[in-house]
Amino acid sequence: MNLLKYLRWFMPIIFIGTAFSQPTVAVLDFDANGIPEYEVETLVERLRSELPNTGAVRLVDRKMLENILKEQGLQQSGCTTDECAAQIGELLGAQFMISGSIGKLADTFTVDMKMVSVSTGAAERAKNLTFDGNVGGLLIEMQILAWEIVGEEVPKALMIKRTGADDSDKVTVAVMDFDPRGISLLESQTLTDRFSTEISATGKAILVARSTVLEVMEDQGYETSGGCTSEECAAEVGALLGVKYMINGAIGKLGETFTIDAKMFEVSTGAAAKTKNATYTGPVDGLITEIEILAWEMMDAKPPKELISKRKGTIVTQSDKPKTKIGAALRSAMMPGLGQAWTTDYANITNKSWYFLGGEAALGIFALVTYNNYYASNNDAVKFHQNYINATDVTEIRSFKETSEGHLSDAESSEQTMEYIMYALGAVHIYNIVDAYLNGPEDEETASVKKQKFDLVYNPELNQPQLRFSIALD
Amino acid sequence: MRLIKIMSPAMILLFMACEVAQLVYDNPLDKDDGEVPALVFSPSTIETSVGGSAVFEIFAVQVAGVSGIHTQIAFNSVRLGVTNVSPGDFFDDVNQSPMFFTVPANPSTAVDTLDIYYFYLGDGVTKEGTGSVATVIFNTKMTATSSLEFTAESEFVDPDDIAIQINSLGQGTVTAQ
Repeated sequence: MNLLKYLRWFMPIIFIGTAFSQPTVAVLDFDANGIPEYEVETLVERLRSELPNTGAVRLVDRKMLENILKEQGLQQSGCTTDECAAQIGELLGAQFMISGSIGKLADTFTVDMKMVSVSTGAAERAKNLTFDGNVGGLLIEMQILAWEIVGEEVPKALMIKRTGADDSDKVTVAVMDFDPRGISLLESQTLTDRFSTEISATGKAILVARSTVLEVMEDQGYETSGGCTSEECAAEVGALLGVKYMINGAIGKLGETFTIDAKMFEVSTGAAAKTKNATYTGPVDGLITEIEILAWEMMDAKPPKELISKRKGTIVTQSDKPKTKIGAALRSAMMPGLGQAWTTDYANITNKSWYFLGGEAALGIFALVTYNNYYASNNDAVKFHQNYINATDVTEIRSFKETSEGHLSDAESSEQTMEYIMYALGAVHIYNIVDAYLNGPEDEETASVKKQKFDLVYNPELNQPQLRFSIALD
Repeated sequence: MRLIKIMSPAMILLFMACEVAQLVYDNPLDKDDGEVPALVFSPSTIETSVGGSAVFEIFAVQVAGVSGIHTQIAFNSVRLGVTNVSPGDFFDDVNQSPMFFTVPANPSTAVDTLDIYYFYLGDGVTKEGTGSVATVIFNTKMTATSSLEFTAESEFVDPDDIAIQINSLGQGTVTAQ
């Protein structure tokens, strides 16, 4: 009890002590050479916001810096020498000052920055960068430079972001070793490696190297082989890696049959983006081909023909996309009652499904019969009209005219009836779609949010995972 | 499933394809009670090519007690020419053959006329009802739409040469393309 009492007193002191042990640093506005000033300000602001994330320095408030400069009658842009920076740093009470310039030569951007020690006036560390590409890509570079200028190791998430900066249409993915069930760990790792290689080969994803994944797992204290099989663990690792999706799964063996189950889920929400599984019976080497094909299917890409031609044995692939209300509505739009039946997995087809199907079929048949009547009457009206036009006998003329007008009236009546049937058919069909939607399966994502009040999510602002508490309001 | 996929668009097309025929009942011989007796062209409109023929039949419609018919047709002689005129069957009779002759007008003017005379000689023979007076074949000379009209000189007469009132005179049109 006494120990706890002392700790309660000393913890804030330790915390404050730790905070003040970090050197303070102020960042001056950078010089702009051939690039608009507002762009430079945005880039420097990104540097400023990243510096506290390094945990190596404390940043002097920008307002304070501006006030000091104002008092001294200086403009930030006028203070370009190391001596001037050191002088301002002294007034601010900062230990280090960061200054620099951002320039543009043709399509190439250059960033030069240095950290000057206020006490000695000497440059403590200097970094420069040459960047080819869009100015937006410099934002990540500035974040990386923030870590480098304070002498800290750049987080892997940032490095992955840098790789993916030019591949905005690709998603970042990391693959966890598949859980071996009935096969050896080595076999499972080999198959996972093949799976990862093919994921990369699809060209639809930026894959994080296995070594990086293992490194993060080690950092978090997980065993690198089979130590992280749960989704929570995978999500945590994914968040630390800064990837959008994680893929995990299991490879099992039952007698002569192999099973592969793979799941891709979103790190930020934990929701399953795609689930694939396959059952394979045949020679073991054929399993490699199957897992390679599964990788293409997982990324919604068509497997290459040469891969398909290598296929051996018997394979049953199944994609378990989560059922959605929209899915049910679409099915009912294609066939009345199908969405309702699909919701119940066709196992317990309700009367409603049959009512919709039967009702629409009856209306359809009625419409077809009416159309036949309309078609015949219309044709007869035209035929007798032609006779009427060609006739020269007054009695015949009158007879043909009356007959033609009679058929025309029948055709108009049939057309009207058909219009009503079509409206009725349309109304029943829309009701069938709405019913399928309203009574459709609950979306997995919605269900999971409703179900679990606590979940582990990745917070991009804090750059770390956090425990989230949520309450459904509906 | 496949049947439904085919049926749905078929039903929509079926619905969209429904359009009742728009028929116009305009046989020139189909006259209301107030319009008879009448003198008409049948057919009332003919389309042909330049140099082609347009065959019109002239009808007396629902006339009673008639024993002589005189029709005078006005037409544009620059655009049309008369190729042939032949008698109709309205005045066919077992006892005597009707008189039939035509008189083309002076072709020096642009508007030409064609006179057709069709009658019984004396004897008080009369006809009633609807029948063909003559068949006239025109030939077209140029690309144009030309009209054929009965002039006010046209008449029906009874055995005493008293005119029977004509309540409507038809029109003909020849379009040469």
